[in-house]
Amino acid sequence: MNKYKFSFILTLLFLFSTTLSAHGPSRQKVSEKIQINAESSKVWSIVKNFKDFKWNSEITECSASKNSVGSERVIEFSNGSKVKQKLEKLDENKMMIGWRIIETDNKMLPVNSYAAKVFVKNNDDDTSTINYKAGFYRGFMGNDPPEELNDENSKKKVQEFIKKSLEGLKEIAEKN
Amino acid sequence: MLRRISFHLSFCFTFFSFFCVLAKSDIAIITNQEADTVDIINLKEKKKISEITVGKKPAGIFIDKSKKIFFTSNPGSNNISMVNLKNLEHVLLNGGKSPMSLQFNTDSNLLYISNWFENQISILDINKNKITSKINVGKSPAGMYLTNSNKLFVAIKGEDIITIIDTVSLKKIKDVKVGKAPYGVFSNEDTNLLFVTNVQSNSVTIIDKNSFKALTNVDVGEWPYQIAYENKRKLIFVTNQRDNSISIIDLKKLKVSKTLDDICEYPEGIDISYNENLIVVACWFEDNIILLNLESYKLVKKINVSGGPRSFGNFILEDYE
Repeated sequence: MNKYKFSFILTLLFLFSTTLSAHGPSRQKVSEKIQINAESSKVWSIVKNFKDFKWNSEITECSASKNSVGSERVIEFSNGSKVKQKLEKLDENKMMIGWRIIETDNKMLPVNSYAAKVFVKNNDDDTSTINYKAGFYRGFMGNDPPEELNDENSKKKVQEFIKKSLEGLKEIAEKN
Repeated sequence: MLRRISFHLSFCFTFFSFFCVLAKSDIAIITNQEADTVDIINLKEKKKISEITVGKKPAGIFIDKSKKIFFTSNPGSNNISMVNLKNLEHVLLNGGKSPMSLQFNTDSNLLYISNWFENQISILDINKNKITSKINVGKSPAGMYLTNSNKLFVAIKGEDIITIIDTVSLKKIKDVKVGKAPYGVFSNEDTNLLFVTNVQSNSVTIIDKNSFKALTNVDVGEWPYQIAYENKRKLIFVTNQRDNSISIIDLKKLKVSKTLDDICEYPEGIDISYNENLIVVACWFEDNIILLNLESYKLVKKINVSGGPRSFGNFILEDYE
């Protein structure tokens, strides 16, 4: 009898707790790939040029002084948003570059602790495969985020940004 | 005739023992934050044997070896999952808001829960499913470790301290200054040392569990998260989430003796299976776990899991049947 009573209370508590669901932030990830009809060395020379990141058609300005680890760049979008990033990893042998967002505008990229890496891989047929990976938390770190800054919408914005960036990279690399 | 019976008996006994050896295995219990599941991996056979749906966004884990149960913290649904390993029965318990790290006292049946957004530690009586006490602590409590002498060490990420609580009097004993943004707190019954990962200062603080003094800070890779203690050679293994590496700290010298690079993307949970001679690492970005040989550190196998593995806490149970 006690056992049934206990199960009943547990069921009630479960229903109660799920209706109150206030989500704590959990880390999000986005990984997108694109194949480019250009040699990997050519694609890598564009990707590693940290101070001239203009693959995304919504980026109007990119200002940075250097291409070395520790350098910072400010990218400006057509809607006026500015995002500041820091170059953290640059590996010529692996053809991998990594940066972190140090200041963002939630209108464009609603994220916290955002770190991204781009890998360029050589294919046998003189094409390249690019893998752009990002790990981040949503735009609002507290409990009960506004809809536009929740897990789902933050991830959606990052996904859109990365897809557009890769499409732009493909266009630039295949054109010249 | 007797000889024949004896032979048969001895054959049966040998076969039975062999079967028993085969049937027993260390298991890894993996919380999958993106799939709302826990995967159970048989480390002898090196394959996934069960998948259990738990609460939302499971992250923290605690295994009670004597009762053969485990708990997960589910910050997405603000509760705790309790799973009986004998029959995989699952019940949801109260966890307070945004539960993170878990520690359990098997004698008193009290579960200690750090509540990230609430800045408190909840104490849950699992028999009554009732939070019996709440202790206010500093901003963003994360990892915890409960000693046999009823001292609870809590990482207070937002204040760069470890708060030590007496779980009998429920009073704070001391705050110990550590590095920036402490997150994981790990130790073991075999050592007087306690290890804290400082995520934003890329270091591990080593604290004496008895004197409550910080002994030293050891620089490791970028964004250290979790730690496994190896009691034979007195080493600790630290996952560096943003470096994709593991730092190995020699506790006799209190410095990094080796770094294992290119482990996987975002290594997080790490634990040791002595029976299978393995280090097990949860690779959050890659949705798999990797098994490394405990001595050579060579990759033995990658095993896919449900999604977003974290396993925040010790997650290996030895000799599971």
